[in-house]
Amino acid sequence: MTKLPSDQDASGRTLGQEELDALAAVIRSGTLFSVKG
Amino acid sequence: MKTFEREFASWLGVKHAIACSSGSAAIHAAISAIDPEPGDEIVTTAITDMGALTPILYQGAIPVFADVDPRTCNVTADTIRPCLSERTRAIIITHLFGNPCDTGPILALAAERGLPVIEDAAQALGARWRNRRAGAIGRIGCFSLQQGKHITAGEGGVVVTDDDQLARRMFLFVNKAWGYGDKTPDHYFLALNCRMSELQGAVAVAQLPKLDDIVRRRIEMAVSLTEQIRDVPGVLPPLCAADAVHSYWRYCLRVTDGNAVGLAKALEPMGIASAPRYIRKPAFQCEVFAARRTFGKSQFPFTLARPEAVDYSPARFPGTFAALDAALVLPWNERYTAEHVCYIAQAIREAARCAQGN
Repeated sequence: MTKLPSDQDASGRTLGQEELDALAAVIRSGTLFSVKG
Repeated sequence: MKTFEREFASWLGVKHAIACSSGSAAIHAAISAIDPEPGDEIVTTAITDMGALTPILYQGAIPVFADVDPRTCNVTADTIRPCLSERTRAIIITHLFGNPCDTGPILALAAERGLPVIEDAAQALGARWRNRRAGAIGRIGCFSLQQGKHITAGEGGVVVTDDDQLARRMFLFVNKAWGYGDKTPDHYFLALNCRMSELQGAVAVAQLPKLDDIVRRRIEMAVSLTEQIRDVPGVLPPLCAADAVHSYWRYCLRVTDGNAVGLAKALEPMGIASAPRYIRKPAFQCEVFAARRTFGKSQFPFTLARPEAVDYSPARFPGTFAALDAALVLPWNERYTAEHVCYIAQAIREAARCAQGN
């Protein structure tokens, strides 16, 4: 039986280093501590 | 998040994009911007996620369900027209599974009646109609970045428009209607905190440049499956409207012998999970509508509705019931290869044979 990639886990998704880099940049920027409302 | 809003607007070709917490929040912001009076009506579909319907009730308006074309599961101008009344304030069109509605006649009808069209493009990122992206065609477009969508931020949504006033109202809605940056800010009207977080925004910024390629690969493999199952008895591939490009959030088969459940059962041992009947029943058969469970025991806003607007007799929805009876929804994603699609096609052929008892 062939196992198909699933969008219910990473096997069917296109997520990778770019997302990790963007998350790191946001965390380092301090914007998470900036109260917006 | 601001970067994502700017880049999403540019990708879509619209003036304003407002990021928010979910696709449901996007719909809620859109309805709030339309600002219906209590008891006003919003025409929509009964084959959709509940998150696209409850915001209408929260805003005190009445969802009026149009029937659908059973071949596409989408509303059409012909099914919308009988639902319009002097109380109609907007028409929501849901591009189900990524398959755009037959939008031309709907836009013409809306223009004739002076009504705004809100596109629910939650499942239709990257879909097109006459070279315009789904969500950028009507007055307002709503998108989802929920876990299973073409691109995701774990959760999230976006609401878009070219209209400055609607954009201002939608920005305010997702920010508790607080006038950020105004000289004398206040909470201007009833609204919620539906903001997208900066962490979600970061993931969304990284996802967006990948979207066109994701959609291209989904389409390529879906077209291949359609070719391979064309001659399978009792099974029909998705039907697209003229001038439309389906972006295949899901691949919805139509099972013509009424045995979608049997076909799903036959596919399961071959490792193919599928959803017969999609959402199982029309939204109006869910308790929130059928029993009018809303605010305490008040049944508000149903208490304000015209009887015809909340008549959920099955005879009024032949297309909706036929569409759900025939629907067999296959999961779909951009990681499918030609080998995977060949396997799925063979499985459908074999399952169809089993389900028909041959």
